[in-house]
Amino acid sequence: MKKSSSVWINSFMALTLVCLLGIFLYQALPHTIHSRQPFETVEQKVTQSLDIAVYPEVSTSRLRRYLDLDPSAYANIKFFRNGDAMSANELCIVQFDDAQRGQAFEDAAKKRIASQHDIYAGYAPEQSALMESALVDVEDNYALYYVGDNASEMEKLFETALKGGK
Amino acid sequence: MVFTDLTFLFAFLPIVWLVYRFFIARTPLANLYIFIASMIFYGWGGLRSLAILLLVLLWNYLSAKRIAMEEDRPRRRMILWIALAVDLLVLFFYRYLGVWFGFASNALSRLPSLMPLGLSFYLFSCMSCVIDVYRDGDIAPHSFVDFGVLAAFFGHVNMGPIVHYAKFRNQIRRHPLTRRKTTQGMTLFLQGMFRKVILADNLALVFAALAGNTTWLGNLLYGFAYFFMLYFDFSGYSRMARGIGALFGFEIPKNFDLPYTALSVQDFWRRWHISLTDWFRDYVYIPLGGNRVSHTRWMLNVLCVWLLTGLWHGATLPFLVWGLYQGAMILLERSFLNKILEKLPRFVRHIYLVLAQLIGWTFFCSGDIASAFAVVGRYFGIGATGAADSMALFVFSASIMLLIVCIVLSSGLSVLLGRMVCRLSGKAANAISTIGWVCMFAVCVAMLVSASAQTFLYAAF
Repeated sequence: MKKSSSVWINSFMALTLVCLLGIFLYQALPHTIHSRQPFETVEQKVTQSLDIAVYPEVSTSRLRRYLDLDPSAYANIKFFRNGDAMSANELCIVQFDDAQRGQAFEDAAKKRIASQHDIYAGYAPEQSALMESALVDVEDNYALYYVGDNASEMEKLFETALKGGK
Repeated sequence: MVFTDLTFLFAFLPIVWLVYRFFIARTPLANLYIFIASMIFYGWGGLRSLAILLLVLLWNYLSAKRIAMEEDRPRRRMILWIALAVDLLVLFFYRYLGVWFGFASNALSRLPSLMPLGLSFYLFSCMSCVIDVYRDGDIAPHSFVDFGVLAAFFGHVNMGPIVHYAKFRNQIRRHPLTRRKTTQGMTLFLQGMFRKVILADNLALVFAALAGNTTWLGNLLYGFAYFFMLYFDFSGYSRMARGIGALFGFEIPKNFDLPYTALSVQDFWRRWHISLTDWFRDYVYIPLGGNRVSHTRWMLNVLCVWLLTGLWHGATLPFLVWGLYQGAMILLERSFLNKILEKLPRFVRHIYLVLAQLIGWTFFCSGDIASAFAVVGRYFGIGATGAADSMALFVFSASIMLLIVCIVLSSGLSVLLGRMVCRLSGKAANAISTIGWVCMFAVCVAMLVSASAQTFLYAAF
């Protein structure tokens, strides 16, 4: 009796360990996209569905103001933002060489989302809701920050562009 | 979900407690109900974290059962080591792998951000159970639900106090609700909320405003803002946890006992984060031989325990330096400082303790060693750009009342004041304190709604 229950416990312990190792393996192995596409191609594919009147390109020097990032630290970076201060719509595509840059971009984008959300929460609830669905997608050497309608479609478009699809 | 979320305060806690109080408390389903509520609470933050919690609980529960079942001593020891190795592997994976080897790949560098909330707290509670069962096979947990309540009760799963299995296990089978516990629980919860929302969150603003200030006064205020913020943040959380425990019939021991009234670093660590200090004493220091070894070995034991304590708080160099600094201070006190300190007046010993911990916390909160040394130097005027500037003076005048309240509450004065108010108000004491706490709760909620609340500092550990 005692022996059979110890066998059962051993089996369950082994199963639990396998599950834990499975989670570790999944999280530790890279499953982000490393794109060989040129920056211009990715930018063109991502922005093709956007109305350029809603998202005019902003000079990279103003990136410091909006995202508190140093543009020269990145291989390529483009920022598009609605000129109307009452609108939260904005988009930033960035290409980088090392993981720390990607992490810095992610942190900056999250900080921007939190501060914009607080600003709009008081007087523009629809813009605040837009901030809640904001997208930050950091891949191996590219990242995208997007605030606007259909964020999930934009995410798919970005990933397709990185893989070189149409 | 954390204790200061409005969802927790106005939905989760009242609903879970009222249902428990009126329908469940006296039934055999009490622990199952608390376990399910705890899993909902924890799972609120993400199902991935919940999956890891459940797997860790299952692993440790099965290990404890297997150890209790095994009669062969070497095999018991082997199972214990395997169980602990897996627990430490989980901690290493999330806590240290990314920090130390993150340069190797992007995926590895992101691991610390994927760490489940409260991992190091509930893992230590689980390890306590496995070790205690190894020491005494008769005390193995009765069921997975009982073990789950012990290690992952929503009152302490996120930030402790760390549960010591052998001391707490009797309460799991029997934790009756009484009127005294309910009143005590509500009071503790409100006291904790006051400490966190009114004191710690406002100190966080002082701390943030003076980051980068290089004047003597600015630096000193910056250091003391963190000194008090860390205390009120974590002791506030611990009180809230004890309060929630009492609402469900548990008596969770104190995690803080007026630590800043201590007269030495050694005394301080008997009063600060008591559950962690006790854990390292019971499961690391004593098994290493404690002080019943040669003088050199004892010194190594102390340094080893403090190095591990530093490592528990974080994987970066400032935490390791902070841990070794605490260990070195204790060794110095035990070697010769205590003899000098004992001859000095109490207030001088207080100043010594406050200065020692002010320097310690500076390393604790600094991103790197160089900036920590720079800040410590400026406390003594070395490298300061002046006595004060307009910013430092403005923050000082704006926060002077806050600092006075902090000093009163972190010293024994608050206890004396409380007793005096009770004596003077006689029979009206209960009514006065109830009205006081209701008003204070309203102010806390107003601050939470205004989104000025900060996250709990110890959630990062």
